[in-house]
Amino acid sequence: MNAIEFIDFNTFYGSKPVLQNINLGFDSNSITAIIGPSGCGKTTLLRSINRTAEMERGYKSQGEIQVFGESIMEVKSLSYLRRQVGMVYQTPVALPLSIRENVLFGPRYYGVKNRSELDTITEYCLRQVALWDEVKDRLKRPASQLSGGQKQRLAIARALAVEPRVLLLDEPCSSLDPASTALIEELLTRLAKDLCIIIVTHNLFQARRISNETAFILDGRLIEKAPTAILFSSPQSSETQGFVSGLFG
Amino acid sequence: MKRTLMDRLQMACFWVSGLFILLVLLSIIGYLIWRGGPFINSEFIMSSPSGFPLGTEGGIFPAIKGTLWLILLALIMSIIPGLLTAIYLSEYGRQGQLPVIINLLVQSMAGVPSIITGLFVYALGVVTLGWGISLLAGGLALAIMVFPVIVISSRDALLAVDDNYRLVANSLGVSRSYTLFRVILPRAAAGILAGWLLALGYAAGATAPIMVTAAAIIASSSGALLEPVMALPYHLYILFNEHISMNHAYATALVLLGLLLFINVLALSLQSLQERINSH
Repeated sequence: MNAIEFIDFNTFYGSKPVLQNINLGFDSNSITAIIGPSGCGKTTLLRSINRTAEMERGYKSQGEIQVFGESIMEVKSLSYLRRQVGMVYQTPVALPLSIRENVLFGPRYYGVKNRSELDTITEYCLRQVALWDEVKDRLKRPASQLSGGQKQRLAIARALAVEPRVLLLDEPCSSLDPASTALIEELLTRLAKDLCIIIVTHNLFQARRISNETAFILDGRLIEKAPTAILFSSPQSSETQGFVSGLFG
Repeated sequence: MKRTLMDRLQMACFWVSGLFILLVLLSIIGYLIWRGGPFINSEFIMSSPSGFPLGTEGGIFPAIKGTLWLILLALIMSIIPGLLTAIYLSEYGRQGQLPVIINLLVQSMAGVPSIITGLFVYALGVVTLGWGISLLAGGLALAIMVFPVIVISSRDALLAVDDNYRLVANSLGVSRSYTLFRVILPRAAAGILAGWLLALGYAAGATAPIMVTAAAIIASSSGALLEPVMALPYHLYILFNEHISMNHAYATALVLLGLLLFINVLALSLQSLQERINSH
C-alpha cells in the first residue's frame, strides 16, 4: 500500500482550477521530490495532504487523497490527520518559546506530562535533526536566537516530536546556505528509513541528490513520475525533458 | 541645487509644525503649573472639599478616588467582552460576513458621542434598572465608551503576531485555543495592555458620560457601587463653571493632566516594548 494516494484529485481557487486530475502515489520509507515551475501547484498539492490548503480563502477540492488507506476527508479529526502528516515550510519558523518548548509544543498538547518522557522526546528529536550537540546546553534559551539553518532543523524536530508517518517539506532549503542545506539533506536521507518524505523543491540538483522518485508538475497537471535517475536521464515526455534540461523554468 | 532648497523648505515646514504642537502642549502644561501648581500640596491631594461655597477650601481626595474607581470599573467591565471580540476577529473570524459586520459595528460605536452613551446608560441603568446616579452606572457608561478602543487595540496587537506561528501550530494539529494561550496571547500581551492603558486614560478624562450617570458635587467615593461618586473632570467643571475657585480648578486640572500623562507614558512604553518584540 502506498503511504499517500491521490485519486482523481482536483483543486480550485474560486473558479480557477489549480490541480487537475492528479493520480499519484507516494511510497513509505522513501523520498519523493516534486518539481515544476513556480505557480504550477506544487505547494497546493503538498498542503492539500494535511488540509492546510483549506485555510486559504476560496480553496475547494474534488476527488480523494488517502493517507495509509484512509480518506483525508473522512478521518476522525484534523488533529489526527495532522499528527500523522508533519509539515515544514519554506521560511524557518521558531515559535516564540524556548528551544525545548518548540520541540515539546506538539507532545504537550497531546498529553505528555511526565518530565523524563519530555526530556527523552526533546533529546531524541534534536538528535534526529543533528541539533542536539549544538543546543544541549541552552535548551531553555529562546529559539529565536538560532540561525536560519538551525531554526529549520528545529522545525523538523518539532514536526517529528508528534511521531508523524509522513513528512512534507515545502522548499525547506531555499533560504539556507549550502552548509545548512547539506545538513538537512543528510538528515532527510536518514529519516526516510522510517518515513514517507515528500519534498517540493526548486533546486533540481537537490531533487537528484536526495530523492528516490521525482514527480514533475506543469500547469496543475502531473506530467510524469519516475525513479529520479530515470526521470532526469531519460524522461518520457518532451515537457519533462525541457524542464530538467533547463529550457524553461 | 533647486532640489535641495525644496527639501530644506519642506524639512523646515515639518519642524515648525512639530515645534508648534509641542509648544501648544508645553504652554498648556506650563500655564497649569503656573496657575495651579502653588495650590497643590499634601492637604489638597489628601482631603475633602470644604468651605462655602463647597470647594473653596480643602482638597480633591474623593474626586481622585472616584475617578480611579470609575476607570477601574470601566476597565473591568470592558476588557472581557473587548478582548473576546478581538480574539474572535483575529483568530476565528477571518472569513465570512459576520466579522465584517462586527468590525463595522465596533467602528460605529467608536463614533457615538459620549454624551449619548451617557444618556443611554442614564435611561437604562439610572432610571429603568433603578441604580440611581451611581458608580455602577458611570462605570458602565465609560465601559461602553472605551469598548471599541479595547477591541481595536487588542485586535491589532493580535493581528500583528506573525501568521507563520498560526500556520506551524495548525499543521501540528493542535487546537486554536492551545496556540492562542501558548503563543499568540503572550506574544501580543504588551500591545494589549498598552491598549487597556490608553482606554483608562480616555475614560479618566471623559466628563460627559459621567455627568448624567455617576458624578456628584460632593460624595465620599467609598467604592460602593450604588452610591454617586466625585470625579476629577466633573469636579473641575463645577469649580470652573460655578466660579467657585479658579485656583482650585487649575490645581485640579493639573492633577488630572498629571494622571493622564502618567497613564499615557506607561502605555507608550508598553507599545514600544511590543514593537521591539514584534521585530524580533
